[in-house]
Amino acid sequence: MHTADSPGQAGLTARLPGVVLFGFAVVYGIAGTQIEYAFSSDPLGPRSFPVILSLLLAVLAVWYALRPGNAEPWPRGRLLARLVGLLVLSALSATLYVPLGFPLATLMMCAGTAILFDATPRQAIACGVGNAALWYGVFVHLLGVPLPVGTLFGG
Amino acid sequence: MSLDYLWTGFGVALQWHNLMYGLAGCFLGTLVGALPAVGPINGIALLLPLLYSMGVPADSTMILLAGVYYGAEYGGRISSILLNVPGDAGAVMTALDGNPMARQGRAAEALAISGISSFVGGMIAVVGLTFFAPLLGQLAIGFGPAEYFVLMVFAFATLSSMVGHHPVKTMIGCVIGLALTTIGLDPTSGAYRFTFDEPELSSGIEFIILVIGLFSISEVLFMLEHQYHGRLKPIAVGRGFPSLATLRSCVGTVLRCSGIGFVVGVLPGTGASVASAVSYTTEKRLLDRGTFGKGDPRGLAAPEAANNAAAGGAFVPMLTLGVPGSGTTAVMLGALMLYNIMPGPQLFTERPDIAGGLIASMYIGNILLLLLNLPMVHVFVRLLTVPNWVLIPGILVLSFLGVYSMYASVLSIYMMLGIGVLGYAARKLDFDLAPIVLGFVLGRVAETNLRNALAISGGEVSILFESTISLVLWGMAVLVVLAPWYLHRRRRAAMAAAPDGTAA
Repeated sequence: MHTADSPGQAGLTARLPGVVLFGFAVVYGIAGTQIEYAFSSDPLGPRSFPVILSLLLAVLAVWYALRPGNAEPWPRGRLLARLVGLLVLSALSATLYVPLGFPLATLMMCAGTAILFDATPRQAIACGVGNAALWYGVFVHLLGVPLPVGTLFGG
Repeated sequence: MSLDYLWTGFGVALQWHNLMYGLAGCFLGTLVGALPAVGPINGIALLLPLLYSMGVPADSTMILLAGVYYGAEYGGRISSILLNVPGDAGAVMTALDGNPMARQGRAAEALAISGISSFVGGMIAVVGLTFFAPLLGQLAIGFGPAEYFVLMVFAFATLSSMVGHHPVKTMIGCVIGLALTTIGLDPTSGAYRFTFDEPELSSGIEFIILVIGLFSISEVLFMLEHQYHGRLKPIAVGRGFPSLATLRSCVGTVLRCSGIGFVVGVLPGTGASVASAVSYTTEKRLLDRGTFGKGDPRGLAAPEAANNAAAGGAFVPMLTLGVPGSGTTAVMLGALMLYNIMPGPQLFTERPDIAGGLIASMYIGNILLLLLNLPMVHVFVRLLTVPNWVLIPGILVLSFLGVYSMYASVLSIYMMLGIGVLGYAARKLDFDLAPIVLGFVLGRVAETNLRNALAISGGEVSILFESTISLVLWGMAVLVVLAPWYLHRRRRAAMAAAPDGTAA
C-alpha cells in the first residue's frame, strides 16, 4: 500500500533484495551453462532448464528492484540480539547433540529458548527438563528411534 | 463412472487403527489450527518425519496428515473468534464478524455457527471430491508430457495472480523453488548439477529439511519478534446455541460459499485463504446492510464454509493430476512422493487403498471434527492459553528431531536452520512461502515433462501448443493472469469517476 504505489520513494535498501536476486540469477545461469555431461537422450539436456529459470529470475529481479513493494523493517538492537541468540543457541545444541547427547543438548536449548520467551528461570529449567525427558521417552521408548546419549559419557 | 475405489477406501478407513490415526489427525489439526503459532503446514511438516521414521504405512500417514489439514480449518476459527488473532491463514476473514460477535457476549453462538458451517463446507467438498476427482482423472489419462508441462504453467499462473498481494514476489518464489530442484544428480544425463562436489548435495535438497526450515524455524523467529507482550486473554465462552432463525438465515450463505470454496480449492495453487477472502467479499456485496464486520452471523459462516470446502477441493488436483491445490497439499504431495507413490489418474485404479482410503476417511473425519468442535470446544479454548515459553521450545525440539530422525546428520540441522533464516528474511520482505514449496514439489516433474515432450517432438517447441488440451490450458493461464489486472483497472476507473471514494 505504501511503497508499491510510489516506486520513486523506495529507498536503496528496499531495492537491495532485487539486486541480490539478480546477481544470484546471473551466477546460477552462468553455472548452468557450464554443467558437464557426456550424453543426454533428450534435446534439451541438463543445462536448458536452469538457464531458462535464470533468465526468468533475472527479469523478475529487475522488476522487483524497480517496484520493491512492502517490507517490514529489519530487526535491530535488543530484538536482533534475541533472534541471533536463538539461532546461536540452536546451532550450538545441534553441535552438542553427539558429544553431550540429546537429553542435555535439548535441556540447554529449551531452557534458553524459554528465557528468550520471557519465562522465569524456574519455569525455564522446568521447560528444559520436561522437554528433554518427554521427547527422549517418546522417541527412544515409544517410537524406537535411537537418539545419541553423549559420547562424553561413553554413549 | 465407478465408485468402486470409494468402497475399497471405506474398507481401509474403517479399520480400527486407521480410525485412530484419523481421530489423532483431527484432534491435532484442530489444535494446530487454534494455536496462533502453528498452522497446518507446520503441523504436517513436523508430523511427517515422525510418522515416516515410525514406519507408519502410507495410507495411515495420509489419513492422519489430511486430518491435520482440514482439522486446522476448523480450529483456526477458535482463535479468530476468541482472540481476534487468526489461528491460520484461512481464518483471517473469520475474525471480521466472529470476534465482534464474541465481544457482544455471543461467543458460544459464534463457535457453534462457525463449527456447523465448517462441517457443511467440509462435507460438500468431500462429496465433490468423490465424484469430481475420478472424472478429472479420466480427462487426465489423455495427458502426455506436453500437456503436463502446460498444466504446471497454468498452476503457476493461478498461483501468481491469486496468492499474495505482490505477483512478482509470488513468481520469484516459484522460480526459486523450481531452481532448488535443479540441485543434485540429473537422472536423464547423469550430470551433477550445482553440487559443488559435496556428496551431501548429490541427492539434492531434502524436502523435509526445506519444509521444516522454511515454515517451523522461520515461524519460531517470527514469534520471537512479534511476541505478544502481556498474554492475550480469550473471551469467555458461555453457554448458548444459535436460534433456528439465525441458522436458517445462514443456509444460503453456507451453500454458496461451500461452492465457491470448493472451486477455488480445486484451482491449482489457491487454497483456503483465497477461498475465504473471495467468499466473504461476495457475501458482503450480496447481503450487507451495514451489519457485516459488526457481528453478522452470515459474515462468520461465509469464510468458515469456504475454507473447509477449499481444503477438500485442494485434494482434487493433488490426487488426480499431481498438482497441489495449496501450500499444505504441496507438502502432502511431497509426503506421497516420500512413500514412492506418484499421484495421477492411475492412483484411483492402481492404489484405491490410498486415494479411496483418504477420501473415505474425510467423511468420517468431518463427523469427528463436528463432535470435537461443538461439545468439546472448551478443551481447545483452554489450550489457547498455553504460553509461548512452553509451546516454542517444543516446536524447536520437534523440528530438530524431525530432521535428525530422517537423516541422522547434524549437518542437516544446520541446513534447516539456514533455510529458516532465509525463510524469515523472505517473510520480512513480504514474500509468501507457499509458492517456494509448490515450485520445489513440481520442479522435477515440470522439467522431466518439458524434456520428454521435446524429446518426442525432436526439439520442436510447437508440441507445447498442439493438442486441444494444451491450448485450453494456455488459454486458461492467460485468462487467470489477465482477469485480476482487468478488474483492477475497471475498479480504478470507477474510483476516478466517483472522486469521493464511495465506489468500491
